[in-house]
Amino acid sequence: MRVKNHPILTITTQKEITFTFNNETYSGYEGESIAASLWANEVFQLRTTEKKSTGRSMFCGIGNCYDCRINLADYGMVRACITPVENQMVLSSGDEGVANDEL
Amino acid sequence: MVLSNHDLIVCRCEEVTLGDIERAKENGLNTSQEIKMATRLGMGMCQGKICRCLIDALFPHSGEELLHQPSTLTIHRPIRPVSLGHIALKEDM
Amino acid sequence: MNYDVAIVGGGPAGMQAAIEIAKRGGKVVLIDENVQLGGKLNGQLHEESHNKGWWIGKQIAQEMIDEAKSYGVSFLLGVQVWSIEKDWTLYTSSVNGKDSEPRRVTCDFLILATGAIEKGLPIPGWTLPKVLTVGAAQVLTNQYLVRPGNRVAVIGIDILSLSIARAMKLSGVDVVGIYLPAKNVFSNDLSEPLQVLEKFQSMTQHAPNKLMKIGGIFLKFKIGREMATKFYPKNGMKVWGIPLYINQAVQEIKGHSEVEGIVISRVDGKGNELSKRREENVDAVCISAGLTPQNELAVLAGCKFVTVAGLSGSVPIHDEYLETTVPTLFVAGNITGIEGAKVSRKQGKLAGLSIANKLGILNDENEIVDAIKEVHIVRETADIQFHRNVIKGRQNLKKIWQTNYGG
Repeated sequence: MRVKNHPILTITTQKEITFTFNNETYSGYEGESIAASLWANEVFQLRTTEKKSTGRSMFCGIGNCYDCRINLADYGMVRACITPVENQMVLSSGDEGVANDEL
Repeated sequence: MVLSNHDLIVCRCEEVTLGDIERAKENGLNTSQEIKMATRLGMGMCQGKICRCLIDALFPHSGEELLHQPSTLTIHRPIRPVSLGHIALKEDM
Repeated sequence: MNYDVAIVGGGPAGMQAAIEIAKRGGKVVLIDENVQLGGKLNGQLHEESHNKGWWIGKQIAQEMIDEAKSYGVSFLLGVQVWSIEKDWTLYTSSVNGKDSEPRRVTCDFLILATGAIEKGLPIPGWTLPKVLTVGAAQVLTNQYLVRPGNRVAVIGIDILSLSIARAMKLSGVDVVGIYLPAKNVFSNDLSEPLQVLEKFQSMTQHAPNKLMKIGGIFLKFKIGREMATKFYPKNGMKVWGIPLYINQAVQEIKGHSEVEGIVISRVDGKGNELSKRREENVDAVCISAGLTPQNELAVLAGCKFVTVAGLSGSVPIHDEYLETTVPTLFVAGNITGIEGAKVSRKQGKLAGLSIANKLGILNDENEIVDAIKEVHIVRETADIQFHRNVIKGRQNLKKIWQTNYGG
């Protein structure tokens, strides 16, 4: 799914990192969004809905719809489409609240 | 198999269908805000960002030129999901 | 932290406003919930008319970021504004675990440059994984250089969907076709070939030449309009090598755990189904339903809104200096009505200069007059126009302001 050649845009080399999603390890490029990294790895479904248990992927891509919400270990919910992926990030499906403040 | 229009999802967050809205309308509700209260449309994670324009298309404003709010779906603070703990801390600067 | 000006939204409007104020000595903070500044610029890629070459939004964004930095603009990135209070306190929080400390920003002037959101367009199956808005496809394809799919269908025929279909093709996607959406209570005009052709007809310099030539010929005569959709080439007309099916609509998106195909039928001029349905295998779908201003913060601030045809939604009513009905609150960019990056940038400049003037750091008030003119000029010569009545819409907005708030 990654574009290797483009007639107009310059493709720059980026730093490769690895991260996990639901205990599977994937590689991606530092700084790209989590959603883009997973999409490049052909992982599209990020969660299932609460009422009808249907799968959802990223939809709006700019942080408005929250369909791409994903759980970041030691933090809580982030939107995969606007959160940059980092080396050794631990991600999983499932809402676990907005953020795990210690209060 | 072709889905009937009644199963068409309108509010993605709360999985509210056109059928749910039609039922609410049959029960006499006729503004976006009333439909929201009855079905939870617009009350999910995105707080109506995606579906507000859809429900407003079904229940358009009655003619005032200058609007107090752009939709009968009221917009309240916080306009983003934040934890209660976070809100509690806002005074604590 | 206290600032002269806080700007919410780091796209072309917000960044330009920040630059104008900071370069004259104002203390500015630019807030964006994305870690990367630039807003929708980062995904934009299209060919400009009159052989001006390619518009690469990413590059424009980087230039603006560098300029803003050079003038000492402060940045709060990956930070969302969840509430505001008058005159002005902004309550913020981190969006991605970087900094969970609650934050508050105070300022004397506020610019809302939060841009637009994409409208939903329900079609059976639209919640399946790998159904994306064209905006998401734009970000994936141009910003992250990841193909949305191998065989992709585009639903919705408008300036944006054509542009993104082309961008996907350039990145190696097999764009199997650009179709209309099914007719339902939400799609209305978007599902009617005649309405769509009409829309393009009046935006002659903005649409691909081929579409215009054929569409224009058919639309000349009323009878021709009806004939246009009946005699439209069965295999679609190709635009940039992509089949454009002005008389076919996607009735359903199918798949088990993700998109597997679409169900299509031919439609008449009003979007009613004419033929038996056929299926096409695709592995991703992009839907374009149009943009609308993102205006929650303006609501919280107590702005008055107006719905004007041509601006694509309800906008905070404002004067010619971009100040709203709430004193010291300004707006710039797509929140004022959907127009496109070049106009947004000029509006950002105008808002920035208006505020610089109020701060007493603008040497020459004529700069504001010039900035107003620049917005008009860019609007009239823009390559990307989202609504054919945008100029009329702006004139109406001005009239409404003058009638209600005088001069």
